[in-house]
Amino acid sequence: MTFVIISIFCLITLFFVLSYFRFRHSPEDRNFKTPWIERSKNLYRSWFIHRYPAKQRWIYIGLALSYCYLVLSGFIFALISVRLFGLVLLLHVVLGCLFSVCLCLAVLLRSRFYTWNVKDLAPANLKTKAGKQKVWQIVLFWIFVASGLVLVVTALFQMLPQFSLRAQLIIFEVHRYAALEILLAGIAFLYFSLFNDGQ
Amino acid sequence: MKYDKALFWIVIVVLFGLGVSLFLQAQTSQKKTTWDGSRTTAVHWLQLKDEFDQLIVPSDYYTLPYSAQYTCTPCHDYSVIQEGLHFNALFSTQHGRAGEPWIWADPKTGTLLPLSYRGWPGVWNPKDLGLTRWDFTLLFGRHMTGGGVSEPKDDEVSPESRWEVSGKLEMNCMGCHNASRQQSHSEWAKQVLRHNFRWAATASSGLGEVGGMASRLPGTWDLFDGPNPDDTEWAVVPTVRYWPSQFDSKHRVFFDIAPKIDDQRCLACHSVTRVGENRLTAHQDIHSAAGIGCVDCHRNDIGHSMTRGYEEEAEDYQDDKRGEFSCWGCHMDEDLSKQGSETAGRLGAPYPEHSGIPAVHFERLSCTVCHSGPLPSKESTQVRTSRGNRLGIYGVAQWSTEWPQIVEPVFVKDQSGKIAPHRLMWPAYWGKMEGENITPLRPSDVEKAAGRILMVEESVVEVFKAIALYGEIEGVPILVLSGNVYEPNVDGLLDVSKYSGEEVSAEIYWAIKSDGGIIPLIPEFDPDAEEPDVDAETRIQNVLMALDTLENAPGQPGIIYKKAMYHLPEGYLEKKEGPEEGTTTAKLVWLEDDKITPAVSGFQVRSVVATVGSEQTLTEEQVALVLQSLSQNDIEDSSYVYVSGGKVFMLDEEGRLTNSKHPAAEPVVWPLGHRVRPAQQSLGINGCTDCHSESSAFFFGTIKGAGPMKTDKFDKRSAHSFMNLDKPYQKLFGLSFRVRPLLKVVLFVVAVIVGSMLLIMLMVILGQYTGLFEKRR
Repeated sequence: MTFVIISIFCLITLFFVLSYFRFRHSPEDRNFKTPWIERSKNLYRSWFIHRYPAKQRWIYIGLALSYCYLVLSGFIFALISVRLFGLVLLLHVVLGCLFSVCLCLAVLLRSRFYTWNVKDLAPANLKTKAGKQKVWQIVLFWIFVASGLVLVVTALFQMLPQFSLRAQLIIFEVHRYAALEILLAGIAFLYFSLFNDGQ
Repeated sequence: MKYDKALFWIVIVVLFGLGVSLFLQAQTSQKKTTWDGSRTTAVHWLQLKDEFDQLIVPSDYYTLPYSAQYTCTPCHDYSVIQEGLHFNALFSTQHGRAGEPWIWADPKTGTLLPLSYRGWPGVWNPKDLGLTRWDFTLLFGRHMTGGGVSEPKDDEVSPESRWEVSGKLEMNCMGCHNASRQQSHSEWAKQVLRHNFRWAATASSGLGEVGGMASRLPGTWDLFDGPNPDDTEWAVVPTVRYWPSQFDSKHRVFFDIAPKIDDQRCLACHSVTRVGENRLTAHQDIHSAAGIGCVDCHRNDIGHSMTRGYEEEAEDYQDDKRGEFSCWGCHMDEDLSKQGSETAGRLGAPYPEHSGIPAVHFERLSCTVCHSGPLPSKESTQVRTSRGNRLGIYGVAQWSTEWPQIVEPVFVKDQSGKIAPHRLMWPAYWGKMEGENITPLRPSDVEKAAGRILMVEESVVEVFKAIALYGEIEGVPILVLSGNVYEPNVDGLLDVSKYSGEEVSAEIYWAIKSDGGIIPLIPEFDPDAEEPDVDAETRIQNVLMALDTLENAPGQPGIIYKKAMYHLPEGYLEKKEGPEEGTTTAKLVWLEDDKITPAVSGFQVRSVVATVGSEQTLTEEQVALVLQSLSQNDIEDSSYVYVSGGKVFMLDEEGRLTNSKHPAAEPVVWPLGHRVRPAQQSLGINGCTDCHSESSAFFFGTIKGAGPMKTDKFDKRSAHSFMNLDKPYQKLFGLSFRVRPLLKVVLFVVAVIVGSMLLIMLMVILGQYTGLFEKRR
């Protein structure tokens, strides 16, 4: 129950924080003249089609779809306080594996774009909107990767016979909180990526 | 005014007196039901009291058996104990989870009915079947503790009962509490069988010797009538002769009361053993082997409300203390774990690591799934239980029975929603079908309607008996059928063995078994010879005269040999022309007018061949005939069925036996708690694939319907169906464990790469902040 409360609280907080960011930093976007479908298409083209080579796109599609399924299946069951079971669990395991592989490839392919640089933290850079968003993206990217690593490791540990029941329960809790973290990081990262005018 | 004051004080004094007396009474009763704190056990030198609360003096002429009620009551509240688990089936409102039912087994009619007063699922209430407390006690008293059902109050006795003659079966305190090796469960069972209810406790405790049988006494006999000096052979009045050496000068007897009840006492009624298991190699419960007794966990106070030891018990009985004595309570006590102690629970019970087992297992499975009973196999293990199969009663006669066939482990999702191992028995009974409801018939009613259809073996044995008694043969008469020898046994039924003599062409070969081997009942001779064979004809005459003594014979006896037929018109042997086809060996027949019927009919031959030496006692043919008979005898023209092996059998419009599924044929299940296996022998010790594989016995083992009817039409189920689990999913899930090692490798590689990337990133940050990178550039 604690986890459910914390999850709901975190998600609501994130929603309000991002809303605040959105309306504080993008006042010019308030009066849209093009329809939202058209804007979405443009965003898709600019952010996805033009950004990644054709072969790489499959990695990100796999990453995104598995991420969505894992989040939905995990959190829906957590919200109703029932452990995953049946086909949902089986798919959770299979797509968990896919997610880990895609995450690994994404890290190998994309981490050079999110390398930490002290210059990014220069006061002059942080004063600009693009500069701030760049920093947020780097931080969130690595939080996402770190959470992914925790998820992979805890999933692996749950399958190993070396851990006692007590340890298993702790590992499971860590897995859940890492999942919450990756959810929040993923949403925030997406926000800063989609609405970053500089990229 | 003065009178008013006096009245006031009188009322006050009376009320005070009443209060004091009530207080004292409460204190007195409290003394009887509470523990003073001493861990010692009182030495029980007691004067025996009979059922009239009179002192028993062993030297008296006609001593009565001791009554536990009056002998024990001065210190122990009999009425409180009556509310205990072993005695309260009739009136308790809280029955907890299902336990082993009483099984009414009647091999002759093929009846196996699970009974209980406790209202558990799948069992029949004896009251609904018209079974009185008297009937129930006669059926199951052998393994009952006395009290409860078998000790009715005077206004609860049924008219046909003989409680006045037999006495009531009082709670047998010594049956459990006696530490003496003289305590005999077998003696208890024998006394109950003889209707010697009031004498059973005395006889079984070894205080004295009981003779006589109340079952043979007339219903008018009364305890005050005493022994009958005119009959010392048959209707002998039960009497007890106490062993004088056990009494002291104050007529006190030493009761060897155990501080802790010996397991042997419990096992008299609670033994469970695999069929075919050798005593030498029989497995033991890990707790018993470690020296933990039954009563260390199954505890009780003076109320005898035994702890049953399952996880939800505290909730079921609204008593938190009970939770401490379950597997979980001892081994995984949360209070202890909160204190950081992972080493020991109650009595130093080891705290299990359960390494590598996902937590979901502890939410969905009871501890016993992995730790109790035999490991699951492709076909369930058949076991015998004390109460079901009448174990532990020793003597010349064999008490134990093949039926009911109880199997374990069957994993069933119980009322708590957890899967637990259960024992299972398929009910078998004759029933009356009204709409969709089936009501069982009493075996005696079926027997009455079936007549000789269900007495095939007895009918053949009657012929054997007549020949053996009056046929003047040297040996045992036998029948050779289908390559087997059928001969009578001491129980009045048939034994079967393989025939190894000369080849016989006849379908039915009547013979004699003697030291010299197997010889024909009628020696070989030529009936057409000019000189008659005197020996052969004398044997024929003797056999015919023997058959003539049979009461239920459908006609005159005859013997067909070759093409001649011999019979006894007016007591003299006469030969006449037999059937044209003739016979190679002597054929015993009945002659009724012009009709010739074999002494053992085709139906009887088929039944004998099919059932003798087999676990089953009925054939499909017999069932069809009995169903016909039941319908013919019924004026209401009701529909009758026979339930066996998970199917309901009934006759269709053309009189053929058909079968279908029906809820009334569903098996009855009850959870098992023992034999507990240690971690090294638990299910899953070999890894996840012990259960999670596409062909695991746990999910896909087979449970076949079993019943007294010999048929290939029985219910057959896969183990997963009892758990309400989906088969394709479990197959798929099981298959997934084949690729699990690969999954682990993938996750490991991913973890190493992503971890390395994170490490590199951290190094970069560190390098930048320490200026290492700048300097290099």
